[in-house]
Amino acid sequence: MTTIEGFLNGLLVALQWGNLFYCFVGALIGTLIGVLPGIGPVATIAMLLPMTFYMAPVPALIMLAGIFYGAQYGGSTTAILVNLPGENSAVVTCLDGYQMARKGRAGPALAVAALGSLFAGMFATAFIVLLAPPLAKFALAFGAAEYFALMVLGLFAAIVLAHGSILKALGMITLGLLLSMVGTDLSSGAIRFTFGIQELTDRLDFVPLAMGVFAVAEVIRNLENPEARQTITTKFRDLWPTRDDFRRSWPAVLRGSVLGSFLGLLPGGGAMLSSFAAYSIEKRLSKEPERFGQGAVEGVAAPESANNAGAQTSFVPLLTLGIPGNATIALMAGAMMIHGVQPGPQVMSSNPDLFWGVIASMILGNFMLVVINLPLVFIWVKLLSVPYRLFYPAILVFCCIGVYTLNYAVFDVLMMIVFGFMGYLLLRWKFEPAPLLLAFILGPMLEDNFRRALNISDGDFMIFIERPISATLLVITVLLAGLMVLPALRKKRQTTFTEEA
Amino acid sequence: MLRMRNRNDVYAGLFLIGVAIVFIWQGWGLYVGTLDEMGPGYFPNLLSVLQILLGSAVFAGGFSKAGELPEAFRPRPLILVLASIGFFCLTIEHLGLFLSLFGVVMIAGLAQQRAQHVHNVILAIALAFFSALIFVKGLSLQMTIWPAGLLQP
Repeated sequence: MTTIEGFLNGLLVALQWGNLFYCFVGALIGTLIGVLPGIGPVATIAMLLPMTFYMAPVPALIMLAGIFYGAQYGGSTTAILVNLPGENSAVVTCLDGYQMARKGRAGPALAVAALGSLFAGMFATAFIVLLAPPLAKFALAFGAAEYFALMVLGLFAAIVLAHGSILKALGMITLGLLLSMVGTDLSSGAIRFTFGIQELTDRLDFVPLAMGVFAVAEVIRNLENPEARQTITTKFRDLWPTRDDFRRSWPAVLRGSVLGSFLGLLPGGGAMLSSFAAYSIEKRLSKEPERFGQGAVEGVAAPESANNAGAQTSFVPLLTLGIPGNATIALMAGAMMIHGVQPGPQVMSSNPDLFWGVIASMILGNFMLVVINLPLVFIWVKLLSVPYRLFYPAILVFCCIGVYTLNYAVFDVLMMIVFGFMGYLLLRWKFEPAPLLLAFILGPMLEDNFRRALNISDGDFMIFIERPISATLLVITVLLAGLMVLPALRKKRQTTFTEEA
Repeated sequence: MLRMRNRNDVYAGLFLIGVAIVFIWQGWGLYVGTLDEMGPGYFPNLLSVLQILLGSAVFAGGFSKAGELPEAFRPRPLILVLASIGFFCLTIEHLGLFLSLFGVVMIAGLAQQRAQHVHNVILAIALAFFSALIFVKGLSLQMTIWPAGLLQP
């Protein structure tokens, strides 16, 4: 029972005083940025990355992981109380959460979200413990064709939920892939697309791109459309859900946890996809679908459990296949590599303390998060009344420092300006930038595996179909793509989420 | 006569096409190779062609399907926010962290519609002070707080 031993050992690592402290810090920061709209885990982790240079790898990753799943908790608070998603993955929580709050039931909504997330967190951790070791073994059977197929599937999964045009979402993927080609080609050593700029031969850095598009462009957009922040008129009568709430929620929490755990495994999946899928399924399964959008407690329970489960299991592709499935995880991979740990199936055997320590810390972190979120919710609510004019200069300051201190290079900050401008244009023209980032992350691996697969097969595309795993993954991709273009489903997709607009 | 029915999509399509053309142009001399022995030019060219097709479809769609009206363009936040980061680039290695961040916050503060100058000065001092405290004193990141030569022998 090496898995159980490994996990228990990990629990001991996570319970060490220093690690416990950083787990708490991560959960706290995660909640903070989760509550605040306009700043997400990507920008935050990117800002904190330089500081982790000076930390040991285990506490560093425990803290960063805490920020990631902590943000899922905090995001729901804002969604429920002010109808603004603090995080993307809390978008669907607004639908029913805010309606509950308007009916004076903000307390139970918050409690269901937090307790559902706690359960989902425990579930996802058990899921990882049971599934990661066999997956890591399975991963050893992955060849170039399988890697390529999995990444293609992930890219398609990432655009399933893209708002509006699918063509534009696909355009974001090709753009992200193209940008990732800038610099030295890994296999031939050729220098590409650098415009003769010396600094670019090292490839474009991911952090300035993420910060430019997600932090800087977002700040500009927010200043362009100053929306009157809704003040909280909801009163908390009590925090505790009724017996009826419990009865309605627990199946939703269970389904959300299972769904989220599986969708999190997919590159491109993770928190956002999980929460949307869980909400639609819950609405479909419900005997009274008309209650959804009117303050149905299941509509809070399902997506909130799903996004937390999905956030946690999205670590699995990184730890078993070495594929970072989303932008936050890619930063985590960066943090691992800073400390000389190459993400992939060998992490479990070569760095068991890191692997199991981080996983075990998630259980502790989830308990801390319930404490941070429920009794202290009043403090976080106060934060929402801080006006944006005090808040956005701080974001810009942290962006500058974070990007500059990565390599102490002014060039990186200049790139952030370039990408900030690009991100502004993209948002203005109604592109959705999240797939761009994922494509940028996966680009080099995608190209490399594409080349290797076709090299092995002497240029025969059959290699992607003849190998069973690769074929299965590609069939799922085709089904997914088919679903997206079906007019019936497109319409459905719009109606399911129209309330959010 | 063709009418643009969705300006956003017309521009979005042109943007995708434009970027792809830049990539084709920049990668013109790269060795392309064959399917079984791809050179550094193969995959990027494939992507560029794909992106031109996607961009064209988006562009054409902008003439056939009506969409949201483009929002009014307000240059002020765009220019001032980017300028504030530009100020950081220009000054961080010469003026030190405190003055550089002070400038960043002051310029960024002008980006709002009704800038409040007194508030901004206080905010700028506070942010610069705490950043210096946390990042340089606390986390000992390698940055100077004051201009070289000032306060230092």
